[in-house]
Amino acid sequence: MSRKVLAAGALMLAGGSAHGQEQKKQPPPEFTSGYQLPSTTTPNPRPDLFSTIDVLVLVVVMGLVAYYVLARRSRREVRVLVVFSVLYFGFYKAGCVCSVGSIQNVALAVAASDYALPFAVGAVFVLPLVFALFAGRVFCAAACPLGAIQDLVLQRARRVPGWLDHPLSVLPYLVLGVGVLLASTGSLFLFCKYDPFVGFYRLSGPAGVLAFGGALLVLGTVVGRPFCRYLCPYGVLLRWCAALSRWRVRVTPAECIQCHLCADACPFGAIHPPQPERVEIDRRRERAAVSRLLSVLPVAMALGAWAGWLVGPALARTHPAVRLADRLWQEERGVVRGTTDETTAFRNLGQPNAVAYGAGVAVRRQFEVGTALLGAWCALVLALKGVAVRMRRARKDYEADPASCVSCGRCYASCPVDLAQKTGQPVELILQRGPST
Amino acid sequence: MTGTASDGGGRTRDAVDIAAGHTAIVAAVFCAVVMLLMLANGISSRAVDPLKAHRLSAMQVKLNREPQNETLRREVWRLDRSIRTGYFRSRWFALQGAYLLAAGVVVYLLALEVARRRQAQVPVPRPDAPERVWVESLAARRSVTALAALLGATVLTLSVLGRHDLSAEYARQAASGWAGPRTGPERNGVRVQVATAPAPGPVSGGLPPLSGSSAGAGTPLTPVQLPPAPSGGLLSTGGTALQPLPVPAPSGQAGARPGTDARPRSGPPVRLSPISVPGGEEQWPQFRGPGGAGEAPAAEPPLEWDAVAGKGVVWKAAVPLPGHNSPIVWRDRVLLAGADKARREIYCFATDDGRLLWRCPVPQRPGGKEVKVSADTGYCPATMATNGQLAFCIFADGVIAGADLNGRLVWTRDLGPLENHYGHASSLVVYGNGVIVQLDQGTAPEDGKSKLLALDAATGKTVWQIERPVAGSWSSPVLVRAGKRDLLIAVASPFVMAYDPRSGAEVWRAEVIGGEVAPAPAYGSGLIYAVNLGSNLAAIRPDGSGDVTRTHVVWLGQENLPDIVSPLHSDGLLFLCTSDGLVTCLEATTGAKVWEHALDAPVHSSPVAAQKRVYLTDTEGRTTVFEVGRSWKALARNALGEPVHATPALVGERIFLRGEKHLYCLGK
Repeated sequence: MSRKVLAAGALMLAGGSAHGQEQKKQPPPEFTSGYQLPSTTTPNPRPDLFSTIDVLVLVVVMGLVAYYVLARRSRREVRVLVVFSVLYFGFYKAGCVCSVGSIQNVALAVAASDYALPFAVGAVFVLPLVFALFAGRVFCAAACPLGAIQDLVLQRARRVPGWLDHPLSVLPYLVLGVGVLLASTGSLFLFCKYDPFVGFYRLSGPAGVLAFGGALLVLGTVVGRPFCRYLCPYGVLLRWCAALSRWRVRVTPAECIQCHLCADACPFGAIHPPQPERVEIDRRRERAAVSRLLSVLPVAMALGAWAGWLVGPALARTHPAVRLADRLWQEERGVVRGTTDETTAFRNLGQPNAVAYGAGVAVRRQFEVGTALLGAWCALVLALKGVAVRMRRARKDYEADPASCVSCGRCYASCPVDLAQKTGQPVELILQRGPST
Repeated sequence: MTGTASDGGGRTRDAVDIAAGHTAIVAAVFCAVVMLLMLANGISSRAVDPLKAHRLSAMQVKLNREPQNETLRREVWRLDRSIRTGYFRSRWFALQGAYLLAAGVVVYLLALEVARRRQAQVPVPRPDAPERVWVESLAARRSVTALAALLGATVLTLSVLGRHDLSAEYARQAASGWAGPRTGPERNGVRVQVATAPAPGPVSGGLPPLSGSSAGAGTPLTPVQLPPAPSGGLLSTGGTALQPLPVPAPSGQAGARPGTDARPRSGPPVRLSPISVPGGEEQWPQFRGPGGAGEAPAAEPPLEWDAVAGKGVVWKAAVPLPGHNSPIVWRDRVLLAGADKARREIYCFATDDGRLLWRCPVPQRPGGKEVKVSADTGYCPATMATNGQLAFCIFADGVIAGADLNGRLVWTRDLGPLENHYGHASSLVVYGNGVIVQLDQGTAPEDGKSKLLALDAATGKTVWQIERPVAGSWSSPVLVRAGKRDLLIAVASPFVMAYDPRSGAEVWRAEVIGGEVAPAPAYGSGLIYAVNLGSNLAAIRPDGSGDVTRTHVVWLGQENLPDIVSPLHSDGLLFLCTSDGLVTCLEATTGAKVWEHALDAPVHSSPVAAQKRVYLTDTEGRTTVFEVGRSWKALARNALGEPVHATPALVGERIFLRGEKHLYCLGK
């Protein structure tokens, strides 16, 4: 409670000058009982100094993860950092500002000339990507509060079969596209509104979102990081950057003995097995299938754009200007009874309805263009996924896919070769006793 | 990692395993119980949502109707307290439950982790696993294709649902400039109808006679011979009787303004000209001069003066009582009013030397409550009007008086008490043999307190009176001849309305304005201009009838809107000035901005124009004179030496400017 009082007081002081003019017109009552006006935002905006400290903490955490995972090949410290992230980035900062939500701020800043991207938000957007370019997805390992909470509940991961894993892995791309569209048009911050775990960090939230988050956590006890793998939009960007990473997780420090223990130990299906020699590969048929897919790609994207254009008006209703215009129209025609706060407030402005209708039409046109691009994007993603499931890359040993690997370090403890190096024991003995996981 | 071993420590490890397992079970049960309790709390808290307390709202409505019902008042307090207590209690319960649940989950996970670790099995190498992985990826092709089909079906469904809806119709019609249907929504359960005004034409029977009004109630204004002015006064006893209603002046005559024709939204442009009392074309008989246009085509006012140094000041006279009303001028008389809490007076100064010719006290309402006014308006903000025979004045409390030009009080009327939180400020206008009062009151149109009255100039009796569906305003009406029709234009939220000044019949209305309206309308280039800060600047063709919101609003502007200063039209340009002193010049026919310029002081006085020059006085008394042109060109900056809130009068070669304490005559 004292933290909230202090935060409320700091907020009032910080905003005092900015709101001086407002207070001139409608000052709040002066309570003599010591009552303090509660803050109406959750979480409270943080002063710039604290925001900078948060960014520095993020950098330190990612740096430590990179050091322990890539240099020391140790998971123990990563687990400590996971707990730290849950406490600091989760409970203390109430899950905001986070890198996942920062995508929307960046999209809005690009699309709207009157929106200035705060430094802290820009930093949490860029820094994990920069780290991913050099050291892989160290952000996911321990710095992301959404991933960290899933990591804590993971008990005994079950492998998701490929026929389910591949189509589900397309969803983050679609979520990214929809979220960027809605944010750039000023309609909605989708990722923030439906963040499944922020309600737990704030100990309150909409019942539906809490239930969704709870379901994901329950699922997360047996499926490794379901949100990260099948919904997280920021993970798409991290995948692109991590695929180019200079340094990455290498499961075995020496010759791989093809025991498959690392792949079994990885809860996220990020370790790819070597190309089996017993399956005959018809490379010509594979190339023909890929060529066919790529040749229809422009047509698919055009169809996708057309389909997206069709759905523009439906998606446009997420924008308040369109909702207002729709509601005004319905009230004027008598389709609905009564008025809403929004239509009442608009009518009190004394402006003709044409102003609202014009604004709604303008937003709808924006959405028609935006959803066309979204449709093309979805078609592109699906087509490229179709290409990916048809292609086999030559691989001699078990390798962690840098795009999918979240740098958690679980594979190290399962690798007999790694343990043999660390302990000096022969590999056969370790296999007999079993590696620690 | 070692499994359970049958050595000496095995029993200890087994005990730990069992304890961890039992702890996990207990923690899980605990969490389940807490979640159930929180769920029950969430369901029960719906009954104590202060925002959805319908029973309480109904009781409050009833209490508003029965404010003396103490039993009901106590019941409302009790129920309100009960709801609030229940609401905050449920919030506290939910918060405690969240803490307990979090603790339980942590214990559960830790216990489970301990139990899992101790029961971990030796992992078995599976060198044949890669083949299975590849086989599964083959199956993934079909599932990815299925996903694509599912997404496509979803999109098509959404597109079909999204396209076929009523709301899409407005998108199509809005593109063609349609503004909405005529019927309004339900408000408080009552459907608001947009009324159709009667078509202009011969005056039909007016309103039923009002109690206390003369036999002329309900009949249109007609020329009336006023009693002759007493002899011996300074005013010539030649006593000009009011001319019959002025006929439309052909172009070229005094009072007619050629102007530029508007580019019509549809139909031919409308020729506009000010309506003034006979002989008043070269006088300044009301707020902003002939017809309220703010222009003095025949005047040749001075360009420069410096009242501080005494340059260009013909005379300066002290005004006994304060007031923000602007001076009016008729021949050799300058008239204005002053008032304070206890006194109301009309003053008349001689134009040639500033002598106070007479001061006429106006009695206050006996036993009436003191009117509440704001510092910005004072007790007599409304400017007087004259028909050359009588001068009319209205005060903030609604007391209106008619006095002859020799200072004899002819009649008074008490139109109050008024519900006007700043005090009445709408200036008077004279039409034919009557004086018209815009009496807008209340805070919302639904209050039904606003009206427009025409009083007989000679007696003050009501000739006609109509109700106005508007909120309170402080704007002043203007009289304009649009083609062959005489129109009285009055502005208040939410309508700009045009009336037939002979009968008060509504001619048209446009729903384009909102807020607390103070600026008076302007006209020119075939359009009527109404403006208010926070709302719109609307340009309306005046040749419509009925609700012209969707048919005759030519353009709307939302930038640099004033809240006090009235706009000025001159030579095809429209000039606005905000209270902060930001002057904007717009193309009158299109609303396109031509230029803007910021003065360095606030402005409350409205601009006036003569000789292609605009005179704009700020609150510090400095008058900036700039060119009526397509670029800002300041011609002079003249100091007065005292604050100014009133609008100057331009007559002949003189400017009559009222400061806070003095009346100045500026010129050669």
